[in-house]
Amino acid sequence: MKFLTNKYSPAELLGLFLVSIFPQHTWTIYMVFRDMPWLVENYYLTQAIGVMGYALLFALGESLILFLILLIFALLLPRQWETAKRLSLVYIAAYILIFWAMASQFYALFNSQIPGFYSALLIGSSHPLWILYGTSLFLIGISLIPILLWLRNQNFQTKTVNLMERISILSWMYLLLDLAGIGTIILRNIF
Amino acid sequence: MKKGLNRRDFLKLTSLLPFAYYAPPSTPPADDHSLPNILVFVFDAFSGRNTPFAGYPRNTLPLTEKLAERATVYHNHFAGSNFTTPGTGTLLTGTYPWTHRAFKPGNSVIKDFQNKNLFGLLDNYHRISYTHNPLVSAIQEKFQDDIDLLKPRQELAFGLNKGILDLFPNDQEVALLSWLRNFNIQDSGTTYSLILRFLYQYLGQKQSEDFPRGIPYMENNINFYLEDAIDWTLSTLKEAPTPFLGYFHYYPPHDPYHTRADFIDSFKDVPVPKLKKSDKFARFFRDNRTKTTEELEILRRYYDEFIRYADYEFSRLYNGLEQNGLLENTWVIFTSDHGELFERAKTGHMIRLLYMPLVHIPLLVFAPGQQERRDIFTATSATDILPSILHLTGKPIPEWIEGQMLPQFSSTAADSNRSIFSLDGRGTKFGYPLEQYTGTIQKGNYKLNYYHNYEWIKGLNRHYELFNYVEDPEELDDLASTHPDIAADLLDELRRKVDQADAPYRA
Repeated sequence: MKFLTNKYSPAELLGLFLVSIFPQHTWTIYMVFRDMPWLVENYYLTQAIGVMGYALLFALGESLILFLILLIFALLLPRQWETAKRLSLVYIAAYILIFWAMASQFYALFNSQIPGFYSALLIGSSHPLWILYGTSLFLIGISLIPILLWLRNQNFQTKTVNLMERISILSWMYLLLDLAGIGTIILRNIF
Repeated sequence: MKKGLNRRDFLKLTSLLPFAYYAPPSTPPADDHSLPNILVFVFDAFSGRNTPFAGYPRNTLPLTEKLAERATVYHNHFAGSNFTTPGTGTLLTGTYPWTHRAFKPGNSVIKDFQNKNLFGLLDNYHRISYTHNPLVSAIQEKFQDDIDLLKPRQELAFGLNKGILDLFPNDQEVALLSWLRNFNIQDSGTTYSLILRFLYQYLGQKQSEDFPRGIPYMENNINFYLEDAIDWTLSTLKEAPTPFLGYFHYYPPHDPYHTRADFIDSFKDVPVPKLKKSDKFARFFRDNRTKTTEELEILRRYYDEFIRYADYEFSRLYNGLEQNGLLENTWVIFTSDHGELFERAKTGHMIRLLYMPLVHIPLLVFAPGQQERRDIFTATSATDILPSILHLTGKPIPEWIEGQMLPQFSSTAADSNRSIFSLDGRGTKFGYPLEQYTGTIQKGNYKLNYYHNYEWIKGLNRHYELFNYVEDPEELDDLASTHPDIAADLLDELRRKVDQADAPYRA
């Protein structure tokens, strides 16, 4: 444990854990509520609540895995950097990952289509593969903007850490919901 | 020397009485060879229209057809509904869905049927059951006190999702449902999970040389091989005390249609009847995505090729039973719980339609020692299976059963003018009356399909269709306007039946 606490205080580790909890729980709760009409239509209300309980448990598990990945990343960063600099990089990397994971689902969720002009461009081009490579590079470039900001602007680092600390407060609420979910699961498995 | 017990000995012996409490419960019934064994093999979602017995141009059952040379083949056998929950409820209780009330996926039958079912009524038999299908498990949970060996379905399954069943044994269905909605991409293209879903999908894309279209999986994405279930059935029956009753509900040819490599492309060049276009009722039912003709043709071919897999394995099972000498005193029933649709721009069975492909199911009855094929064209119902089994086992047929003995067992002439029903009331909550339903009644040569109280078809001036299903089994020519009297009589009879059964729930 010493190698952990040498680099990060218990409070910072707890903060990292709470930050890991936030995106997965927000998404799960949003999706379960979106799913609720279907669940209630096809199952009993108690079963639908059970589904939510398990979903929260699985979200907690997934958050723990995300936390471990971020922790490993955080431990690999040089100790010479200030803690705020290290943590802000970890947070930014995590949220870029989360952004793309959400984007891939939003694409399906809102039934998005490839814009017509883009399809026409691909069809009309004699080098469609180059266009696809170019688009990929462009999207990667967009993802790197926060990293560039992080590199050049110390204020951005501090603001990122502050924002994440605020988010952590909401994560406590999610942890309470997790407890309720676990309680539901225990009851369902006993009775 | 004194004979018998004296008072002291008797008192000494009474001290042993408390140990009797710990004695094993009553021993299983002793082997009784005077009663026949009964085996019911159900292949899920197996449409009778896709078999050679209905003149289907693809021979989907080459091996079973050979076996049928020693069986009674029913050509007009109808399921109680169009999906597993009500269809199996009907099969096991001998009543229509409006009576057993298992309407929604995951429902079981009402409490009244806890002991009034195939297992409960054959209480002098050693009763064995296995199913791949979680919806059948949900029904059987209610009957489990009357089943001597109920094999947990996950024991013959494998794959990523099986762990959830083991982890939450007392709440399998809900735990698994949640797990799948977390990680398995839904029709909407979404999951509850953000990151791990990618890992799940990567690990889940297991291929197998034997199953190039993917390893078969049952509802809720749990992998299985039908071979394992057949092997288990054979080995269990070999050791089972007699007389035994076996109810085995296998998943194929239910979708996804992942057939074995041996049967891939078996029907690539065999044409099938031209696909029917979307009609005025089918197009309103959107619980099932509209498919293009190309999609339907491919899915139908995959389905037919998956039936070949079921055919092969059933034949292996039958031959195994014969080799073990079990068929000498065993009745074998081969049937399904409902059919499958590939027409009118729709596919599958989770749709509130009751066209022939969804309700016409196969029924073969193999009698011990039968050497000749017998064909029966009289219409029969899934409600007839239970009374026929009761007859075979010398049990009285209770009055509450809505079916009647299959014609081969009945001493009276088959009633060709009998009414047979199927019902889909999947929107109905447990304990509530039927507000919306699709119902059919078959009587004589006619079949009426009725759509009751659906919001989205309220604009149509007529909510039923009438077909002469004997002359027009494809249900293309709606006779409701040319034969209004027949349609009105059938509609009246169907609605009266539903209203009668519903009366206690309306109160």
